[in-house]
Amino acid sequence: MSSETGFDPALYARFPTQEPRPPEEEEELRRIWCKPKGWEYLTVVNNNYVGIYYLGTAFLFFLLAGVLALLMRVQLAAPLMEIVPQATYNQLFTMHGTVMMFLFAVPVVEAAGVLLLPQMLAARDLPFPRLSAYAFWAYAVGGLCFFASLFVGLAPDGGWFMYPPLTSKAYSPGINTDFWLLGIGFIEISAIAGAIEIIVGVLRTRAPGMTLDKMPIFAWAMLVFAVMIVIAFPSVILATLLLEIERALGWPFFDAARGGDPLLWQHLFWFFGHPEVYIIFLPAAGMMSMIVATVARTELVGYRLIVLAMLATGFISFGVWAHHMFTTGMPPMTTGFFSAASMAVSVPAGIQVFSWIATLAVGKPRFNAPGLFVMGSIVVFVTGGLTGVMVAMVPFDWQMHDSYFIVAHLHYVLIGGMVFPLFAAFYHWIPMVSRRALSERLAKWVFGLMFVGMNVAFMPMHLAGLMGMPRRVYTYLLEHGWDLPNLVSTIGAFLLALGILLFLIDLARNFRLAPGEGNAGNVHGAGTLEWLPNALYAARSIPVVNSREPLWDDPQMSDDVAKGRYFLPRSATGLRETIVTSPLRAEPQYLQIMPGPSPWPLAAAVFTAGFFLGLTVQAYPFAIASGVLAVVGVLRWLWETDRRVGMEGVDIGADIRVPTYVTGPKSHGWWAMVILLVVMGMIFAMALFSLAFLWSNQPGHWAPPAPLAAAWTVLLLYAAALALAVAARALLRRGAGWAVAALLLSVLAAGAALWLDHGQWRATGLIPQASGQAASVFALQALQGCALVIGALMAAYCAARAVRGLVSQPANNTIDVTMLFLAYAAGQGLVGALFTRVIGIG
Amino acid sequence: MRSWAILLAGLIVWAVHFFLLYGIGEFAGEGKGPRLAVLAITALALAVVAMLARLLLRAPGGDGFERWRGRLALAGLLLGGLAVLWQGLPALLAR
Amino acid sequence: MNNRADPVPIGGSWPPPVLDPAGPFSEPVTTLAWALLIGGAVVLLVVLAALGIALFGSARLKARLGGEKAIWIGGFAFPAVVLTGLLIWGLMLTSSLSATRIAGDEMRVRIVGEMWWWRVHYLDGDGREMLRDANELHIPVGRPVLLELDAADVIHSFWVPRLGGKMDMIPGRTNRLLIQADRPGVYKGQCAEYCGGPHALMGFVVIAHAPEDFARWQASRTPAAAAGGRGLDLFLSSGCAACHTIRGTPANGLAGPDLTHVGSRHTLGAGILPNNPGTMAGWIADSQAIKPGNRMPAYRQFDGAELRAIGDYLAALK
Repeated sequence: MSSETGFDPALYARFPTQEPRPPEEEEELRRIWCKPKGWEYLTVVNNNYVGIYYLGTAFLFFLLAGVLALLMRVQLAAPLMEIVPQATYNQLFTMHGTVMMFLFAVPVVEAAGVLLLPQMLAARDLPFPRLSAYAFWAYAVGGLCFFASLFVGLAPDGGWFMYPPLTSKAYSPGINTDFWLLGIGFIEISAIAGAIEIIVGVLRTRAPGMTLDKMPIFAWAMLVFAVMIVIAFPSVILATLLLEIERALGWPFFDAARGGDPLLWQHLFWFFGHPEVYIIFLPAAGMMSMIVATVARTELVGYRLIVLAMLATGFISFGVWAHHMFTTGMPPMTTGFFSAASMAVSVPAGIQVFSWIATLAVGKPRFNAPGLFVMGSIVVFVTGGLTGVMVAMVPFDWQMHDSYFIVAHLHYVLIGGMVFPLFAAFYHWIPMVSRRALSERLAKWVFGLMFVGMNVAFMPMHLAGLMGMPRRVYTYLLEHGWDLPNLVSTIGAFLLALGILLFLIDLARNFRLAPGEGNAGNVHGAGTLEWLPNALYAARSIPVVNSREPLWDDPQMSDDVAKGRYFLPRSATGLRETIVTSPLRAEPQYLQIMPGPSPWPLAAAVFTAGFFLGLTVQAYPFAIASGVLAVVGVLRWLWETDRRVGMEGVDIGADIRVPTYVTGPKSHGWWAMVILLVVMGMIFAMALFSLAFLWSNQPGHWAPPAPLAAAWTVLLLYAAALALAVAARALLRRGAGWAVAALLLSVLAAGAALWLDHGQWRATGLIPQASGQAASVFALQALQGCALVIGALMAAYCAARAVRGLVSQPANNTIDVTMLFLAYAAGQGLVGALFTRVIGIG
Repeated sequence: MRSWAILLAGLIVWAVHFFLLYGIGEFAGEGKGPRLAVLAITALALAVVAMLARLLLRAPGGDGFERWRGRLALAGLLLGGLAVLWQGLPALLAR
Repeated sequence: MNNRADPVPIGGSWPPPVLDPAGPFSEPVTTLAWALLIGGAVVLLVVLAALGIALFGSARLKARLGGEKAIWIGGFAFPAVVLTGLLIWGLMLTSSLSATRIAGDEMRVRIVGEMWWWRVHYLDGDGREMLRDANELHIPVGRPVLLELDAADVIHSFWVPRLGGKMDMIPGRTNRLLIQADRPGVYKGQCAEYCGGPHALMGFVVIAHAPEDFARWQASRTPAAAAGGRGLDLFLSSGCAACHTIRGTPANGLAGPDLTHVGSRHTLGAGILPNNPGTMAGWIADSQAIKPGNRMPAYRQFDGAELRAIGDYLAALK
């Protein structure tokens, strides 16, 4: 077998070890990963707790958004009903879509990842527990405030895709729209934090020996999911930012009369919005693949093809965004590109469906609760997929676009592809976190009601669409003949709701939280590592993995793991820790020291929410104070990380020694920063695209850019900033002071460059309120300004750590990540200064 | 990086191809020139897919993980190739 | 069913409008729709059968289904063939239905979406305005009509399912859409892009006439000096003229629909009420109760006699 890191795989043969472990080891683990008490439930960072909080909150939003749907169905049960007033109805459908997409679907799968991944990969926790806690609290606090806007009539009412100009200041003067833009912009930050956590977790904290081809399929799904978030979410972050700037400052990004373009929003939104659908679907499909294998009691057929299907979905779903725009007057060849990609993206979905069917055919399927939901999911998802292929046909879409046919299609896809798998997952994995499993008897009723209700509710909507009923109507006239399908849909919706109500009753009767020890255990006989005997520190020892279903292939494994016969049967340093492994072959690389509970992630999250809420309600002093406190909170929580313990190398079992402190491209911190820079790079790239798009679509509004020849000073300063940042890493060998000085100088050089750049553009006389071009250029500079402010904060933080003697030499992670950030920022400034001057130069 | 490049080869070809095509449609229009460019790029992308497949088929076996990687990559090239082919059709058929 | 003069339900009866085409720009899409719906149903049945075999089938059948070969056939080869065919069909149909290539002899109409009604400008061959109207479109049968679609405020979408697909109306650009009716009749449409407030009540009607009827209709478009009297006086003195135009009178407001021929319209309130003196009076008295949020204030100050006078006057504007 070849090696990735120089680690000798032959060493795996030393496990399971034979000599008995001292009993106090386990007690120490239990003490280090202790249960919270009282207020500590708010400051926990362990994935068992954060995962459950996260899941519970996301499910709460599912219920709330579901209630909104029921209200809408009541209003539409008959023509010209006056139960829900028009303005309220418009808020209801906007909130239903927004909450389901942003506050339920994405968070709930992220929550599942946080809860399940460490156990499944046999890691002690995810690599950035405090980041998980921050992401959760930010989402929970922000989401609840956002939802509460409904109770005071201030909920957004522009539809979940918020098309300008309807959402511009002129046509939506209230702060309803700002609630959406700032609320959602904020929750996206939380999603990205979670994605970084998941990528690094999946690639770097797998059990030794778990090569990529032995990784549980759910981990593959979560990896693709998280990468897709990193690529897709920046687009909507930029879009919300631009629209908020347009609303607050009058910069016309989307106002055609002043050189903006309403279609720019649609491109930016759907470049996020369509991948979003697959972002939601993939983790659910990953759960399906795990559950199908267990239901059929056989290994997954076509594992390799499913991995390919997921990767392909991750790619091709970025080429379908404009199929939401077939009726915007796009020319035929361009619509054709998107039509073709929309067809292509259905192929991987078909591969997955047939893999599930093949697995069921090979095995002896059980009709237990997860099994029923899995089968129901296949039926419903295939139906939705087929209507999806239909609307991928441009001429058919011209008819069905924005009609109830689409409402039917998207609910089939999302309920079949996401909600049913999620319920299968609830039944499948609840025994892992609850003392009792859920009721199998009740589950048949839950499934039956949900399946029948779902079809009764959404099947008639296909017909309503063919009858010409547009979506987002708060009422309709009798003469259209839409009354019967709507009445049936309403009845179906309540059947579906009844099924979910029964599920809640089941939860109330049987769900007794027991993370770690005392759970119901492997009642379904699954074969993956999350079913090892567990405590809050996850598995007692971290096994060597030789197959995809280790528990099936090695019946001794659970016992060996519990007796500490594998890696890390104790705490090597007396602190929370986990083994960091290499990305492809999962060879042990070093021992990561993990941070423990802290109130600071919670504080930072609350103040971040306060910042965005303050901006929304235009309480600016409050917002600024909150923003400052949020930054303080983050820095305070970071302060305790990046520490060195006295021991340089420790025994992680069977005399295998690894270091406890690693810097450079091998370290998990470096990885996280690189991913964050990809996020920033995507935001920046989308901003460049916006400028180019406006140039191409509004040439009449284009003025000559600032002269290219004069830009050499700007470019030179940025190049110097880049060189200084990179030099800091080498200078650290000479002393922390040198490194910090280089970083600070880098910030100064980049700041000077931005100042000059801005001055040259001001000299052109372009005004951001008057032209889309100027607005885009100045927005790019504002982005650059933000990057530099963050960079300056980071450099100052490095300086503070240097003063307190916390910067290790000859290499240090805090210096490393600051260097990366500043080097990136300088590069971004350089590219921006060039690009803005080149676009429309002729 | 090498492993990822192999695993994702077909999909990367698709992505590069797709975004070039979109760029042509968005910024160069749909006249005769752009259409020819689309066709040429499509032919090139298909040639790259074929070449990569040949390379993979000739590559030595390696251990379990490497064989798995190679077979996944071949399937990926097939899928990517089909998608690239579809992607080029509008230049011929949609006027 | 196509020769009724009054606005009539387009739905409620089989086939539904999308499957009941009335012209060459909707007919081929209906054929495609049927192919897709039936084909989709067949594929669904095949998948259900496969699932059924996987769950309940004989060991021999299950063995056939349980392997990578089945995944390649069902999940790759089959979709590859079917979707290639569909893609080619779709692309060719897109070309033939697009308004990118036009003959030049189409009737031209510019329609502007407004919150929450439609401004209609009939153009001559050179794009000059011949006639202005609102909320309904009169066309001759058998002749393609090139619609030039624009929006005054937010994005709307023009959709008359029996005559063609929909097309968005986007501020700052002009989108073109071809429609044609081959049989005389009244064809209902509705705004399909959510445009805020009473988007649900933004309807539209297309009236297709036989050629001789169309000529007659065109001839009737010169405003006859309608007997003004008390109705016109009230109209002018109550502020109506600030928003509405009635050619041949001092009323020349531009914010709302042109009322020169309002009496001959098939509907009131943008496709939502039948047009008669009673609904006219009701609309004037309290349009906000009928179509909440629309831009016309309620005129509750009129008493019954005044409402009748205005209603009768407007109803006479044929």
